[in-house]
Amino acid sequence: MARSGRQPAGARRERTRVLLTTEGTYPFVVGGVSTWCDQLLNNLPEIDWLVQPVVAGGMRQGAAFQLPSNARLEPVIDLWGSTLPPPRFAWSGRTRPDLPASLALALLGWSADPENLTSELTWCHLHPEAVIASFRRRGAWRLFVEALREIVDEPTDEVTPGLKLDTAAAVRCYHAISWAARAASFPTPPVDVVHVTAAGWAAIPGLVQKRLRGTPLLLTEHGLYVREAYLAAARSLESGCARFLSTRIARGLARATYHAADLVAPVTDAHRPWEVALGVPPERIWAIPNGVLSPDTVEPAAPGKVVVSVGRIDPLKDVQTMLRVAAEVLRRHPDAVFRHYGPVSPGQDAYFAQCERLHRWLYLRDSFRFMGPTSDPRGVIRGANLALMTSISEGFPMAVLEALSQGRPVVTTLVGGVLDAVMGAGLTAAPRDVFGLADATCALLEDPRLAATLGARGQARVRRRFTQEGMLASYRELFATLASAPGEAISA
Amino acid sequence: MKLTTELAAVRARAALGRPPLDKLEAAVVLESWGLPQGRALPVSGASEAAPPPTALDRWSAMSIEEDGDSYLEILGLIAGLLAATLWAAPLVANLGGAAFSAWRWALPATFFLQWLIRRRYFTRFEKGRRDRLSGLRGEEVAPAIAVIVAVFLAVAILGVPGLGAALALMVIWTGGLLLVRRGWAPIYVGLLLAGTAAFVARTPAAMDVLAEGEAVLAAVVVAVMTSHQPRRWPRPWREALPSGLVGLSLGVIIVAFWFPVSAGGLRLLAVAMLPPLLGSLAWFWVLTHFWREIWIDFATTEVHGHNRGRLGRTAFRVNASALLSYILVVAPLAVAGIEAVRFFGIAAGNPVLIFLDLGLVGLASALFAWLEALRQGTLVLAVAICSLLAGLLTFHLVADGLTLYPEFVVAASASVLAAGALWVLHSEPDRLAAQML
Repeated sequence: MARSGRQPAGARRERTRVLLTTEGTYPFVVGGVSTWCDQLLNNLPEIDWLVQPVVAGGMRQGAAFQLPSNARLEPVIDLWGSTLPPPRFAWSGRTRPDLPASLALALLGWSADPENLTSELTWCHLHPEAVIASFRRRGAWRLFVEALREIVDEPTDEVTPGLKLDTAAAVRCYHAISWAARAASFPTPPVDVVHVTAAGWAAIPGLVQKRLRGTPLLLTEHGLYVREAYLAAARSLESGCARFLSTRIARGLARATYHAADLVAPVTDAHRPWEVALGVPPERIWAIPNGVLSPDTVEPAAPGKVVVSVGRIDPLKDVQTMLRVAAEVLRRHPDAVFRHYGPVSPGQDAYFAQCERLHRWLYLRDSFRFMGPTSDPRGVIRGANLALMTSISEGFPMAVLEALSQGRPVVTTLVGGVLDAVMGAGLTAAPRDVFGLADATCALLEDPRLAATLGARGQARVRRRFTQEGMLASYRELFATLASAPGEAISA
Repeated sequence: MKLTTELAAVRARAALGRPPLDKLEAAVVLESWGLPQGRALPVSGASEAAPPPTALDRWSAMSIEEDGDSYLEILGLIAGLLAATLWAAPLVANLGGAAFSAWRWALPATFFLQWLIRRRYFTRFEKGRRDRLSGLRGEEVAPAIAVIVAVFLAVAILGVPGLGAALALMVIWTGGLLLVRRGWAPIYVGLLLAGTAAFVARTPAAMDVLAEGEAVLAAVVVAVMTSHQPRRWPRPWREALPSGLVGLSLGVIIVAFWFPVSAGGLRLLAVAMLPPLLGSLAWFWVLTHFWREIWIDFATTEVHGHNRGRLGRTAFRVNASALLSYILVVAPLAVAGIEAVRFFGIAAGNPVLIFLDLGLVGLASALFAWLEALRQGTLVLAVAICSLLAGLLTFHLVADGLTLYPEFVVAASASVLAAGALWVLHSEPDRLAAQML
């Protein structure tokens, strides 16, 4: 392939333009990732931000965040929706019946070269009119099925052999892959840096820009995308085929993103082993922990037994374990009060209904209340004696940082970068360890002095290591470095 | 105790109740057991072999969302059509020739609106929510349009009765679709019965149809405004409009076949709308019952391997059932049509063929619309209309020596296209399902 410079020297704009791609978060859904995006956009005014959200399912999205004047919302990439560009007429000579098969091999193959996926996605970007037409070519399905056979039978010690792929899963896989192709064909504006917030579907515009224009690609991982896909598969009741396909798609997208990223900036070093195992050279990983504003002085907690949790209602937050912990704590301290603040994640209404059933079954009544979203997380934390978090997957949770910054101790599961945050300022237990978490909660409720000591330590730790200014300075430096050293475009 | 690869595999398998898919899933499971993040990766590994899929696996592979409301919808439309048929004579007596024009314009316009609305708002489902008008609730201009239609309807009925009657019929028929979809079929039928009673009581027909139209419109507004707030976007107009054009073409074909010149002709025109509706109904019935069965076959058939013969057999059953149900509902209708034509003394070509044609066109266009292949659906209608026009032209040019009925051409073209689609379903149901993009 021929290589060519991205743009002539001296043609650069004064202000850096950054395309921020999000997946199911900013600016539509409240949560830690969205808060982090909001911090960046509002506090780096020297950057022109273009925000391109990826959402799924044609859901109506109401903006939960107001974009600042230096940011612009690009058209939403609506997977499984209708906002993608319409299929246009294409001469059959320009279509490729092998496109679905090639995409499948590149995306699902265990040992596939990540470069192949980027190449195929770039072809889709350059030939948007031929994407759907290619998927509808007569021979496309047969070639795709042969490719699936090759993928399932791929010899490797790292995969459990013997999977029998059924036709229903194959059909759904065909549709999913067509959406990857359609997302790649979406027009994206030329920018100086693409900042991807998840190594999944949101990375597709970045992969294409990197290949086509040599635009530097920065990846910030909050939760590990591929790990969370596997977690969802592990607890799923879906068929083995469905689990196989969902995890392979996540793995394929993550590998391609890791391969293409100029820099991977996870919010915690805890992600490093997974990222290295999936192909990121260690020297390209630079952890930038989240940061928060912290007050100079801390209001002491009022006497009481108020436990607050802040987070979305989502299986990854394991709200059901939280309910069980509350039940166990209430058995020992009937006067304790639990308050959970946070919205239901999009598409998780059924999970919330399960949580409500469990709430009734555990007879928690008003001792545990779902309070809905809050616009003042610091305020609700200040009104509590301690914060509780039961997630089974996290990056560097904002809710924990907010609690520490307000001088409140934290009881949390030991996941992701939590240990970095709470070291010496809270108590931890393994994920799903109801009794461990309940014991820790009771210990802090019974000993206010210990709680106050841990809270003060936490506040000092945040002011020392996890300030918003420090985080912003790191990103400012990164953007300047990446924008001044663009890569090279590779003609597709 | 040191966690070896073998022990890790045993732990992962025990936690999952099955072998892990691969080493990454094993690592995730081990981390959930309390191993710090990243420590599990080096020791995790895949198992030796996956067990065969269980019955639960196979069931859970399916998540078909049924559109059971289609029956109600079509039966509601037929009820509306039959009620309006009863109004034909009073309308002709009251409005004279304007009544014919009203029907001639209202019918294609109604078909256009119904197909457009169905495609834009009713072809996407929100799990656990039966309220199908929420898409319309999200249209900010919907209340304004309702007010304009209501005012225009009143003004038109008083000033230009033919236009007013056409508008009223259009509102009544289209409103029926919306009310039935909302689950308000009893209310709709009640309104129709009240309107019919007024006609029987010999109140002025123009005022009756106006009052009926306004009542249906008001019911629709209430139905829409009391629906849930939408959570999903409707289909874009660019996808809905071709569907509307398919409906419009159907209406044009029906009107062109039977241009009514008497009250009896109007009744026949109403009857002529039944075959395409029943053709669609046949498909909805078949798809509701058999599409789930096809997916069960999909879920239990290896994508490459044996057992594929069962897919073909199921697809054959689907096709045969569609055609059989179509013949069963349209053939008696055709016989009734012959008798009706004889009774009213109308020269309208070969009524058997006309009925079969219209049914086939309805069947084929519904099939293509369902397959998301609107271009092919439009092609069916375009070919049918062109054939019809060519046939009529030939009839006028060669008045005496005409041997080729236009309906033959329509029947042939619609049959060929429908047969093509049915053959694809029969021979490659998996490809068909995969390429419904």
